[in-house]
Amino acid sequence: MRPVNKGAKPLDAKGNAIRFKEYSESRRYLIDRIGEYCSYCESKILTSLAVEHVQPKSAKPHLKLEWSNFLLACTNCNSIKGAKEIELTNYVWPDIDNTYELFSYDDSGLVKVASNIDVSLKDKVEASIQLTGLDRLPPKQGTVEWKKASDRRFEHRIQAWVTSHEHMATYSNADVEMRKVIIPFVKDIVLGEGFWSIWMTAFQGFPEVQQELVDSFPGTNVAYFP
Amino acid sequence: MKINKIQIQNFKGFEKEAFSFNPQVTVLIGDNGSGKTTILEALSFILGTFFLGVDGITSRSLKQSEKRRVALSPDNIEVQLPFSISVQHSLAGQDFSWERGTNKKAGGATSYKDAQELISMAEAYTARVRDIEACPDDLPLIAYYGTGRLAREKHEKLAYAKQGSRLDGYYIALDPTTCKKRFLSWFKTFEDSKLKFNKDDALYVAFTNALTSMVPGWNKIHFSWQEDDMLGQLENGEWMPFSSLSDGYQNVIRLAADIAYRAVTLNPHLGEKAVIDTEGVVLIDELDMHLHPTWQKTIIADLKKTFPNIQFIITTHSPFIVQSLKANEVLNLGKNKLSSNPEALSLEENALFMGVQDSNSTKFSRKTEVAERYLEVLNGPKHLMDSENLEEMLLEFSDDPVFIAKLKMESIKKQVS
Repeated sequence: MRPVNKGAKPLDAKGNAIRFKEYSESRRYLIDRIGEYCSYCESKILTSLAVEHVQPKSAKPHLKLEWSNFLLACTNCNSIKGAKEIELTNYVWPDIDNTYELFSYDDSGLVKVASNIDVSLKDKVEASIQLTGLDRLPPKQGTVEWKKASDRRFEHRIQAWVTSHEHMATYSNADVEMRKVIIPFVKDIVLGEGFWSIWMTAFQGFPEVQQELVDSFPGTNVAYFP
Repeated sequence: MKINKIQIQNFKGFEKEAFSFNPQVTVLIGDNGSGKTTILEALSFILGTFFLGVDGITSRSLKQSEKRRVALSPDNIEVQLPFSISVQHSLAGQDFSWERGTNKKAGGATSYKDAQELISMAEAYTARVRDIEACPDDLPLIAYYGTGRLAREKHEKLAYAKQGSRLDGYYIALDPTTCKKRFLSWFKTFEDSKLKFNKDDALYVAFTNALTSMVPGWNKIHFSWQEDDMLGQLENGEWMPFSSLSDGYQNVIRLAADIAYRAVTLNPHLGEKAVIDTEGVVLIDELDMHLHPTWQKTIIADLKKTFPNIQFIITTHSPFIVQSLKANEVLNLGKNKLSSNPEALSLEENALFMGVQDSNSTKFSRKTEVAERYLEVLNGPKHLMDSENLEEMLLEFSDDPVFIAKLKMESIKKQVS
């Protein structure tokens, strides 16, 4: 999960903090600040990008228009999370914690709790995974449910895992000059297709590529990547 | 000024319909006769209400023919009443909600009692424009460009613009049949006094920046007395006179220049930011007229970038324009429902959904074709590689970085393995 920094409340032309009349008015600002990606599963969102209320608007109506309560989410993550009441400290959040270190990604296509983290955090990370169903497997292939499934996050993660490792292999075989050529192409692919953490994981051995991904995604919390 | 929502009752073809608008851009699509232009007409009627408070500027009255008629039998046609248009909009941070209508069969008179709050605001603006000591308000820009805007004007020697009022920025703003070249006179006069009297050039900068931001390939513009015309400098350094450009170019430049001219005239106190900070509503019928498809793809983005505080409400038949939009920027009056983001659909899908039949030279199938050829050359015998330039094959897709990056990575993979 990419850690992000949304920044302070957006300002209007006169320099005052904008008071949103409807929460949907914040969407453009959120896109500018953290990019068109789901804050939880990291999919690039081409359709129906939802302004996500961390604390559901039904449970905490006073936070309905609060900038601090907003993230962006895809329909899958948003609907699985639903209107469940949230105690912030029981979970980890991409705009609060260094979520890059807390989750791990592998060829299973599932998002897992990173193995080397503090025990006290493990339950929270696990709770976050379940909150948006990042551990959900697709229905059995060939079944009716499988044909109908709208939750394509698992498949997309597997695809991203495979592609990112292919390109990482190409990169590691390339010489210094060719590597310079490759970096911007890798960046374009990740910006266009999302799954930043999976690519970060694939390029673990190549900090220069990771740095490019940190810098090119809008709103990545650079404080965690000195 | 931003329009959030209107409800139309018994106006032209609409019995009773409500429409909501995106604060930045809404593109109306649908077959001929589906009511795209009618919505623009209804909006212009609404916007004209503001001018009831601005003396010297004509508002837009209801035409008798615009009341909805229903033919009960071939010789019995009844006017449908009541006619009304109601609106929710904002102006200067304030929200307004009002209605204009009539119950009378004859005549164009409509009540505007309900809109008094807006009209009073316009009156107050007008009074303060004339009061030299008043702190200047930001006036909202209002304009309507109909399909008649392209009619050719006779070429006459350009007169110098007279020193006028800020309210000149509202001159024939809601007449859809003209888009006069008043901006040219203004430009000529301004460039002249800038040179002669060293006049503050903030507004000149605002205007020229708007045009260079809007027109791809124009780096600079200036007015030439020799040519009596505006010239734009192309990337190769050559200067090109406005009047020798193609209709497609002239159309867009005229539109952009007219909006920019109105913005600097209405809000000169905003200086260099007069164009980017001016708020308002601009209606454009058939934006795609005479426009080359490559420009159709970017024109909405160009408008948004050049006039970030203007709400555009636009009609089009172009799948290229629709493909460049987000789902919440399209208002579809046809029966087909747009299932997802038009940006994510291929051109054929957009064309199909818009009822446009001709989708032969489509981007999508072209992409597949090029990708296949690219891989064929890449993985084929060496003589193919020598005869075809892989770089050149990708040039036409410079707007799709992921597509290019993936094919380039294929070629790099081959080189390093």
